[in-house]
Amino acid sequence: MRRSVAPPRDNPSHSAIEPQRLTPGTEDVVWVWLWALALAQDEEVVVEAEEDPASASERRLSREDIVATPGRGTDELLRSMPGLHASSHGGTGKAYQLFVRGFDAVHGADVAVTVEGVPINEPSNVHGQGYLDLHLLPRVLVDHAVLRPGAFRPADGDFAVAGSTDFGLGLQQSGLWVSAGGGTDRTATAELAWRPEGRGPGSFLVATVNGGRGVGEARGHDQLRGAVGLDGEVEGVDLRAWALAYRGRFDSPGVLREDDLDAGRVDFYDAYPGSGGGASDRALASVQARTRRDRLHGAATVWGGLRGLLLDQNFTGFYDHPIRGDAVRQTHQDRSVGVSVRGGLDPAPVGILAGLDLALHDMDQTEGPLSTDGDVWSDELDAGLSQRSVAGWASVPLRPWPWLHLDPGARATVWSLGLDRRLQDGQRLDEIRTASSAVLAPRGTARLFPDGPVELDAAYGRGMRPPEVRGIESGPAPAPTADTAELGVVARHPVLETRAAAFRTRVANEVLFDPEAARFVATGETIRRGLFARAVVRPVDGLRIEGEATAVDAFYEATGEPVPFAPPLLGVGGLYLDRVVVGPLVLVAGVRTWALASRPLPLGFASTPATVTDATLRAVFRQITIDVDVDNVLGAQWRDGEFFFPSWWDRSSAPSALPERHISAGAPRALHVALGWRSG
Amino acid sequence: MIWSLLLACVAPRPELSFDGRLETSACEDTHDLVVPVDRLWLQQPALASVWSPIATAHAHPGHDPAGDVTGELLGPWTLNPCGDPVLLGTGRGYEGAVGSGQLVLQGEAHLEATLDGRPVAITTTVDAPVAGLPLDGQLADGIHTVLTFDPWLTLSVLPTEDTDGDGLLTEHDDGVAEALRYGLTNPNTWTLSLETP
Repeated sequence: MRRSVAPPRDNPSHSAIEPQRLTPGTEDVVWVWLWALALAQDEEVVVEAEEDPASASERRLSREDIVATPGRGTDELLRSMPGLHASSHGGTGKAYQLFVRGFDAVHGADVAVTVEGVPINEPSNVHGQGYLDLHLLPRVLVDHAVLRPGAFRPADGDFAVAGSTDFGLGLQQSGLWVSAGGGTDRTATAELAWRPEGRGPGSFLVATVNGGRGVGEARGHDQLRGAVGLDGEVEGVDLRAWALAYRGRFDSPGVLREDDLDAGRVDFYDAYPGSGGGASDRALASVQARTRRDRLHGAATVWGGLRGLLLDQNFTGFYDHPIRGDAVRQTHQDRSVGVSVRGGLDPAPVGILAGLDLALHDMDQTEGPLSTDGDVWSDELDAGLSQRSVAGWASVPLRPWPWLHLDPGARATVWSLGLDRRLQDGQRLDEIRTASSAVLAPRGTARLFPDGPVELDAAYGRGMRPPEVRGIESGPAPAPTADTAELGVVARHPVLETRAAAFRTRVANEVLFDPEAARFVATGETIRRGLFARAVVRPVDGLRIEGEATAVDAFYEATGEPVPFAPPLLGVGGLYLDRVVVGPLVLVAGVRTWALASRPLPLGFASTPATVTDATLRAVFRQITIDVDVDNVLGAQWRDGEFFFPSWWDRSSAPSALPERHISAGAPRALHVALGWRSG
Repeated sequence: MIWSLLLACVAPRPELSFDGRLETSACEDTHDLVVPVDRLWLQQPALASVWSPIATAHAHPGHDPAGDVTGELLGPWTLNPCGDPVLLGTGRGYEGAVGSGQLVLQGEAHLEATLDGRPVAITTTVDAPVAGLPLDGQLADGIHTVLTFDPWLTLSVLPTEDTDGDGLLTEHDDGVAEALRYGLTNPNTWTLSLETP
């Protein structure tokens, strides 16, 4: 059996691009897929040349990097993207809110995430465009990740505006792995992962469960995940199939008014009654075939998914509705299928790389107020939505000299959107609207002295996100686009690697979707300009010290006002043990601190800066593994989110229209320990 | 802005308190006027900001616009703008520019007076904002908000025809109550100013 592996680039332990042979296995496994019978017993790993990095700020995480990265959820890995801050204001189960390089990407509107090329963002989700729920993906199964600020590659699809990430799946070690643990945050976890002997990393069976009450009020959650994968080869074609399933239930602590905190009426980890919660279910499956004949290569992927989401949220108390309260229930169902085909010819010195992406989404969503008893008061919105998208892309890799890599290209996307407004604002409409939209996005990268001691990079790309279906009128619909240019330099030395980049993004017209009015709102041109710098020091084998900072000035061109909520400065520092052998112990560890400067808030306010340190340690002794995670090592009472708006929770007082600072509490200090065992 | 934020020298926009006072007016021929005021808002200048709702669906913190209220005095008060000056108490707000004010009238208004020699006794319900009161200045800690009332604009528009013939101008006479509500909610009736102590 032959399989292809693209090694993470910034890990020297994977730098040897040499074929290696794994020990053959003899275990027979009964698999559902018919082609599984064709799997050969001998496994040869053919390591292919990976794609060039798109820019100096691109980052790749190996499995070892992932183990050494603090945090237990897959979402936490997104923090490794330069300039990205992730905020969790909805409890363990709701998608994170993302801020990247001057963008408030909300729940994923400007960050495209794929799993082995399969898009994860949910278009026109009832809670937010591009909703990005990574709870689907068990972290134990993430083999590697590529995190790319900007949208410089023609292959980057919908929602790649501020950045994109692709997660690769796989288990690096064969055999059975079980683990169970618990934490001082009143949570417990259990994991099972199995890779059959003699099979590749893409053959796996994974089940994880975690849950608990959490610290404070309204932080209960439980999550169940399952995953199965199979890889193999049939007549020179690499085949790979996987399926993921997830079911989660969670409470949401919501936000607290700062004046209530100051007055001692609530504690930092409290929640107002009826602050909300949700239920999230998702299944996603993919089958991929890849082949290569000398310079010619191609791949085809077919995927499909089912999705269900229910969210109950109340952030304003009784301000809008003094009797019944402002709680809202949103439901969303999505049935989706997609096909991606890509192929090309390696450059010698001219090549070609092209692809076609097709995605179909069929959705139903409702929204309506809840009573204080948690019953649906009435449905105010009931709609059926459809989105069809076809995207074609191509690039022409040019390698005229070994010291110059050019990759000019473009991506063209057409969306066809349909809206059946069965109910709007409580009124039966049965109105059907159709619209379409198209964007042509030129993109390209240039690398001077690639992989040399000093490399210079330049990149340009237009990112895009599809129009939100609920806002369409019949006819053309606006698709927000952003043009980003980046100049970077990489200096490499065995001990010290430094990267720096300057970038500028122009959004010609910020198009926001106002769900209350169900229409698009144009708010004018915005500019984001910034600097990124990163240094990695490896003073001795196994020890890695990292420091990184991203500064962004994001503002409205007409008025000079800052883009709200977007962090102007984010710094991250870390100390990592990649793989250190101490007697019979093998240690992998990481301590990471991130610091977030004040963020501009509405009405001229600024948020409170935050600094948080997390740590993780994995110690392996023969077949036994101990994982120790410490969240928020310093015990900071930090504010994950800060918002300004009026609310009314205490109905014994007079309602006030004065906007008040609201905060969502960041994760408290917690110690989590898990004990694992690996077969063989 | 960015450098201020980077250098952490942006002082958080301070919260402050301010006083409110109703200045009385000479209400000629008027004996008694009761106006129910629920609250007084001071608002930031129009178009001072391009802040928009967060581009996401309902039920997201910060989705709702912050609004333009930057100072608030909470009532309710039963004011007699023709009587003695009244202190409206202490309000909360945020430092910065203000461009307008808004009163919310809610409750029963009552007028007893003699207009053009005709006795008047009207009681009517009023529930409406008085929006767009011009106010140009900076809200600062300890500042006084002064509210004044122009009786002429309210009382001069009252019809004087005793349509029910009872010899008294009351809410039962055509248009009288409506005219009183109109006069009380006319933005030109009220004046707001800031007074540094």
